[in-house]
Amino acid sequence: MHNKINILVICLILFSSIMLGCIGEDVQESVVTSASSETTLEKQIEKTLVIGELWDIRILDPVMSGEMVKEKAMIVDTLVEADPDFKLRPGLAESWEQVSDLQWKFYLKKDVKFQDGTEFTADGVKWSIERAMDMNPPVKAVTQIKSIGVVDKHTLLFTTEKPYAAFPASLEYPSLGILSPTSITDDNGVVTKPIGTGPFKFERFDIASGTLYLLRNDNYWGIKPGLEKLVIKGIPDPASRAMSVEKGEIGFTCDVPYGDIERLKATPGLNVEVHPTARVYQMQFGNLSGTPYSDVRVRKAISYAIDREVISDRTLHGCAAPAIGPVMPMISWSNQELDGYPYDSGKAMQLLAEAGWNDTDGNGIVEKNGEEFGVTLYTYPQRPGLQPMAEAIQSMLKDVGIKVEVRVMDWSAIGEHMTDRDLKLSGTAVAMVPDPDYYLRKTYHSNGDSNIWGYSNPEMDSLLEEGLSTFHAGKRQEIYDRVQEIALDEVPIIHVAYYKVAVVMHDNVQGFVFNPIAHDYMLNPEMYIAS
Amino acid sequence: MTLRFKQNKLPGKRSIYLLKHKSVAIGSTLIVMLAFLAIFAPYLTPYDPIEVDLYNNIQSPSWEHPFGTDNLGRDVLTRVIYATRIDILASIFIVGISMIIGISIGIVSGYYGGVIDKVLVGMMDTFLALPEIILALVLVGALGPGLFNVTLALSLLGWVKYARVSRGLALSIKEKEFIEAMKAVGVNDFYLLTRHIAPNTISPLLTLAALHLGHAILSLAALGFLGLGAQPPMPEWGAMLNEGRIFLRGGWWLSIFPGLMIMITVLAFNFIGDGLRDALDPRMKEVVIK
Repeated sequence: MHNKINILVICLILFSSIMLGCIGEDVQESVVTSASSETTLEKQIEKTLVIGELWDIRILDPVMSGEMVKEKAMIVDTLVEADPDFKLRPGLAESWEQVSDLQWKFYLKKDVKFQDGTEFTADGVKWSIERAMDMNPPVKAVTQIKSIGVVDKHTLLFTTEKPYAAFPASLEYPSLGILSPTSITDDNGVVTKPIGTGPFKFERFDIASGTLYLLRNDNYWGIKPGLEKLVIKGIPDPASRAMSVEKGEIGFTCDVPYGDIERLKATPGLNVEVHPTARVYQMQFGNLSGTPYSDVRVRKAISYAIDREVISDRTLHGCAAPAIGPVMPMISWSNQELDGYPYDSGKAMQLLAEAGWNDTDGNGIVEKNGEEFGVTLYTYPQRPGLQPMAEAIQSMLKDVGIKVEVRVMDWSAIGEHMTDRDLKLSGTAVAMVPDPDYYLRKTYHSNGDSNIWGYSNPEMDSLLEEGLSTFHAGKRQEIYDRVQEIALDEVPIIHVAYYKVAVVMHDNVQGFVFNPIAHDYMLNPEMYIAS
Repeated sequence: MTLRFKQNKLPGKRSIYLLKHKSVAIGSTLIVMLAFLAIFAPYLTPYDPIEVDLYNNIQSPSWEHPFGTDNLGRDVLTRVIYATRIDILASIFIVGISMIIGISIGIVSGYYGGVIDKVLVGMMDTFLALPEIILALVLVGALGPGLFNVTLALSLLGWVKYARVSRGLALSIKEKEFIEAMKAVGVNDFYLLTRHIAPNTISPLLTLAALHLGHAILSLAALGFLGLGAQPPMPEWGAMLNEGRIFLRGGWWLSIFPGLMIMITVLAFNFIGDGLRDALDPRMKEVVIK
């Protein structure tokens, strides 16, 4: 009997909490307005912006978490920076010139000081970049630096392993943020208090709550930062971020749940912007040889069968754009002539039939030599768009006669389960380095790091190698235009959609300019809080 | 030579009493309704639970879609109904396997005693000391996600309670005269265990089984919520809750209905379990009356 009473009590509590939840919304609204009017009272708080960050903050060493320290906290700068169209612009380096195929001379800005007052010199830069190459092997692969020579106090001479046209762009890599040699490290040599040249300096880091406190750097070499204080708080759960920004606990965040975007747009006092960024949703084939995918017609059929418009607009609620080729059109090196694969299930079925896949037993699934076209599509749960996208693709491929089973598991576990016949859906950064070489070579070169599906085309290989040693911008663009054309024509990998990030901020947060070069989002010193 | 003894059954009066018992009546009505939903699922709704309609996603409840549609435009009512099938069948499977394993281990342990008993009881204590859901997470982690693997993991972990109770029952039954008599005429142990001791442990275990059914549904849903159970697009309550999580405020119907179904089903099984205990356990009844 006691048990039954307990159950009843629990039911009542549950029911009343549901009811409270419904009422809660209105109550919260009023809290928001009162909270924001309170904050405007205090001038001190007025110039403080709290950011709801997507990941837990753990490490403050730019070599290991460059995105955090450089793009979000703005403590360090890189020698080279990039504009929103991915064209390079000077950062800490005023200018640079190519001395020979292998050598580059970089002239540093002269009136720059580190945040602790020490002078910014070529020796410091050399120390900082060499440290990054020692600690983080990918940095060495990305920059291809063989040696760094100090010419004078403000001039550096870089020598690369091979002719490398993407070299200046590679210095934008956030792990190459320039640290002062006076930065404080722990016993393992990992920086715990980074000192850089950026618009904000480290104040303190509360490791328990994962909150980073920053102060304006009054000696910043660029414009005077509009904010006095910046607080970055790790809130990994998207729903919690949405709630925090609504309640006024944070003033800026991004990647809120898709289901909340419309509602947040309609909420007074909030400003929602959806921006394309350099990340692509791609579907890769297990292996291009010894599987149905060895026939290019099958790969094309799959690409035609996917309705990219509806996936972007409906399934991902506008937080994606239909993909054409491997490079999104906003990037300066994208080939604007390409048409992509518009949705055409009739054409897809026709191509499958030409490749020998026909539905002979009338069960809706195509067969070839008595074998059904059944595959498993793997994806992982960390990016919320992937699972619904996988399920949408599953139903679209079923329409053309391919039976797909979706399996969602941890990124690291997919490799153990996936076979050559299977498919994998993932989100991948296209411009970790603002140069076409970065993504195109690793994806399409027969020795590319990502190319585990075994795509090999001698023409593609020689074009990609030519691109590395071609320094003339116009000629280089022609090469990469051709690369993108072949990539689209041979479909060694399918690009489904371009990622869009939803930024939510309070109306009084002004001056924010979205830069798609960022890995998640990037703050800028021009941001300020209007009163 | 075969010997047959009339087995203990619930006397007729008692079964009537059972149905008169309020919580059993409520519980069984609910279960009958759920069973009806599960069995006649294809006839109850015009939609297919996995057929997507990408243009009509996140539609709030209407006459056409009484429980609304999810992010892929699937009818939530249809999915909830089909999920009843999957969740209830899986939990029956879990309870069945757990009972078979539990009773086998329990009666062997109780009947033979000695070292076998010590080893088996040690094993039971070890299992009891570890939280079931954590063990299930570890097992599913090793087997890989999927409804079958989750069901298997929960089946392999649920036996301890049955083993403990049936061991105690076997300890007392083995002292009874009819067992002594059979031993005297040379009936072998296997026959004794399977035909006489095991059947006598079942009715006391029914209470446990009814409560376990509810518990199994909760565990299934928990693992499904974590993305380890049913893989998309299979409708399963826990997985549906998870899919609805990112739409919690813009599309409440995605998570409320599967959540309610979990609650109703677990309550129904618990009502039956409680009622059964009142009816079958005389000591418990006295306590309640007091």
